[in-house]
Amino acid sequence: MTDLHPIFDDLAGTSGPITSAVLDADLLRGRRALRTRRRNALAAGTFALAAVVGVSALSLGGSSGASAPNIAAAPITAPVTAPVATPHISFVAYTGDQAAPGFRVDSIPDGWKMQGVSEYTLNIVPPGLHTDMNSFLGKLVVMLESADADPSDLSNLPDGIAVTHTTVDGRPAVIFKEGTDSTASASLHWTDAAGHRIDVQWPRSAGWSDDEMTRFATGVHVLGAARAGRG
Amino acid sequence: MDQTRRDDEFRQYVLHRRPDLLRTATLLGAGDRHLGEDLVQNTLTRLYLAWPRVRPETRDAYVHRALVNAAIDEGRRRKRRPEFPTETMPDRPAPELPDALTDGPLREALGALPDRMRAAVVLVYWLDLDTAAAAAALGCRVGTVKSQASRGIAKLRALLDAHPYAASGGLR
Repeated sequence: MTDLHPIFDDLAGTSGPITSAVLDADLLRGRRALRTRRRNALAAGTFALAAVVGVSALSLGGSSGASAPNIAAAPITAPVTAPVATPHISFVAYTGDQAAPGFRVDSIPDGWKMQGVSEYTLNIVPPGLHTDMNSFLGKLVVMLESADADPSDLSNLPDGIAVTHTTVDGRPAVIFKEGTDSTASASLHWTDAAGHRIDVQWPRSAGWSDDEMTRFATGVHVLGAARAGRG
Repeated sequence: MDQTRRDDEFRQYVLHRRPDLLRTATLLGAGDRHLGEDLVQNTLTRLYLAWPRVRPETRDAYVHRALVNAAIDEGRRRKRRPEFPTETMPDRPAPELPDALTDGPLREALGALPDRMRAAVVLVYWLDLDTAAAAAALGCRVGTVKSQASRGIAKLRALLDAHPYAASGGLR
């Protein structure tokens, strides 16, 4: 009978000590991916709190008639240019399996699929998109705000972020829109009744309106095992 | 976790584990060293992103799972990728005789296994992971790993024993 072990060893090849150039390249790829993810996470925690604070201030001021701190009076705004839109896709009730530790949703875009759910994210993908679960480009993603987001840092808001204040289930929420090309993204941030800071991201090319996304958000449920990501 | 600490710990891990990862990835890629390198790069990038939430004692398990997932994803991508017929055969380097004799048959046989079965064989038979660890890496039950590895080895032996080189006694 053929002894496979030495043949496996030969086929696996030899691998001597790695050079510092290889080490540096591995590290560089990691750092670059982290920067991209932080950027995609959009500053989310950072901006969300700012916006929520702003909305709260506006709401308090409106109800009391008193002069509120002028946080909301100077909203963070940027020119909004609609990205290239694809044919409109409506949301439909989701009745499929949601063996989910972290999240559950009531609806998904018609024709899209549940890619997967973990404690950290729930990913919904359009037909034909099969990228890694950690890649959010082109996907509708539900997650908690990064545990590493610094909500007090409001001084470094990137240019070109458009901010819209809205509500989800009557709770203050904010929508951020960034970019105008095919990779442009938008995100909706709010804190639910249980205190979960939730972040929903989607590709702007999907063309969903703010109302559609807040309705979708109403059907987002955070489950006990949900955890905030890091980085 | 601050960036410097993350970078230092990550470098130490890569320094010690990368050579073995590349060998494992090469086998998961059915002997394709370039694919193995791609799989390792992809996996290490994921590990760097996840670093603060992966406990030191579970890093290897995380990496094995990421490596297997990357290999299976790549297998799916290759199946979807269309092949274009050409009028002439592309130039290819002639195989070096020693490698062709030792690696060739196994490379072909491994490549003939379904991706998950190949992964089960590599993890259990070559990497010598226990079946629970292999099951965690493959995201399936222990019983499934056992049956996949066992059937994979049997299939490999059958393919290799039927190979002309093996039949001549070259692999025994």
